Amino acid sequence: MQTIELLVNLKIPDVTALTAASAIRRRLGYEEALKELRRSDYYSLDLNVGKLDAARTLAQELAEKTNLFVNPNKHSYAICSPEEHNGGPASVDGLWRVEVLVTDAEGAQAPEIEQALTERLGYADQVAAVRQGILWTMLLAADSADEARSIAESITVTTARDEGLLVNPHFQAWEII
Amino acid sequence: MSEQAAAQLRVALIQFPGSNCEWETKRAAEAAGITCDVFRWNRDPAALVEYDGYIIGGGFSYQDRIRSGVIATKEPIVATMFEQVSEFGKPVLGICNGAQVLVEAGLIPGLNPGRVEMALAPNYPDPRGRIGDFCCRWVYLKHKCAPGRCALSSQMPTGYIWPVPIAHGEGRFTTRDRDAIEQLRANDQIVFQYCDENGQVADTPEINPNGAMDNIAGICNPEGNVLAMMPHPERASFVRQLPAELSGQWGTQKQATWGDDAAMRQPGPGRLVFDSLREALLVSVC
Repeated sequence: MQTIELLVNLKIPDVTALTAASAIRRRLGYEEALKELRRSDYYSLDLNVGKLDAARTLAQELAEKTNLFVNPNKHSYAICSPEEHNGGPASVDGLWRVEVLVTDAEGAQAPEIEQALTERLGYADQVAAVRQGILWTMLLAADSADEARSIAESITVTTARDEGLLVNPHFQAWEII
Repeated sequence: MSEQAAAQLRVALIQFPGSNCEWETKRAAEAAGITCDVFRWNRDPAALVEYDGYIIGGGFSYQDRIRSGVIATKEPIVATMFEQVSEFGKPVLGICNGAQVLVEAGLIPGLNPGRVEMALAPNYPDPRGRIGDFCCRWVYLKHKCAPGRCALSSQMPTGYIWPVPIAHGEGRFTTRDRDAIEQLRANDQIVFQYCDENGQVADTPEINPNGAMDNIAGICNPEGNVLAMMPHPERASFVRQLPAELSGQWGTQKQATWGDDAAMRQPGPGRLVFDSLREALLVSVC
């Protein structure tokens, strides 16, 4: 069993990410701290294959042939493994990159996609599970990794009208990956 | 209430980019004797203080980006409205997207004003397996709270059952704080619950269309001057808006109006929400 991740992005400017970035800067006071905000559709696939290379090949096939994850007219995609995330802020050109994964608090399972893959598209033997979420990638100006993490958390969790934006913790879960 | 007093009652119906129910809501409010101005979100918020109350109507503010209503809550106009509600007790009616704004702004349920204590989460998926979680149909509501508990439902008796349409994808009242639900029950803040035509409240997909906790369709704040409801009373404010296939009194009344324009213009069940708003405005300005 291998777990592989599929990150799907819009080829055109992502207005949701742009709107979020604008609100965070103009309304929440992170004008200086938030340098960039990107949003990806996130899928984690448990695949019944022995090696990572085989998992990448299968993930590529799923992305390009099933039309479930990627519309090639408007999406680009990337395949990565969970080990490629840093588990916290990573220093990039003097800034800090923080990846925040947002999922449904009641579970990230994607039963409709699983069902389509296993029951209708012939991947019953190869696909064990599919989870989904939204991956927010922030580039932050901060003096330390701890400060970057703190800013990311403040931006993420909505606790009041003027605090946080990306997650309502009453139905969503989040983690820095 | 004199017609003169009613004519002086002014509410601002806040229009965000993506709002789409402002004109039918304005018409429903005006039919109840309220002067209603559509107030664009990017006007000077200071002008908002001139109004006696506020309505945030339905639609898809900011295209529902991130979560329904959340971007709108960050606008200065919502901060001004929050101040007017907190300091002067002005009434606020949030319908559908407006309810989502009030919840994300911390006005509802308002146990700790300003804190986000609930969510209007995506509807539970249809258990019959149909893809699509946007739900658009007529439902029945039961007025649950005590008479006068909520100023925005004061003209309804407790137990009043009425038909009203819903149209939302994110309408499931929920919280991870079980104490909050207990407190809402104890405070009698649950104003409307989804029910069947006989008033039975049950957590089934047919009755509770989005899977809301406690079948909640509408909640007021502890003071009772702010109501957030997911169904659309403005779409049930005239008899002509009702579907003829409704069972009971309202279906019968609709069928009896065929060919009678004046009868079609008679108030529907949702009018009572706007009548209640009118009375709340009168109290507020006195």
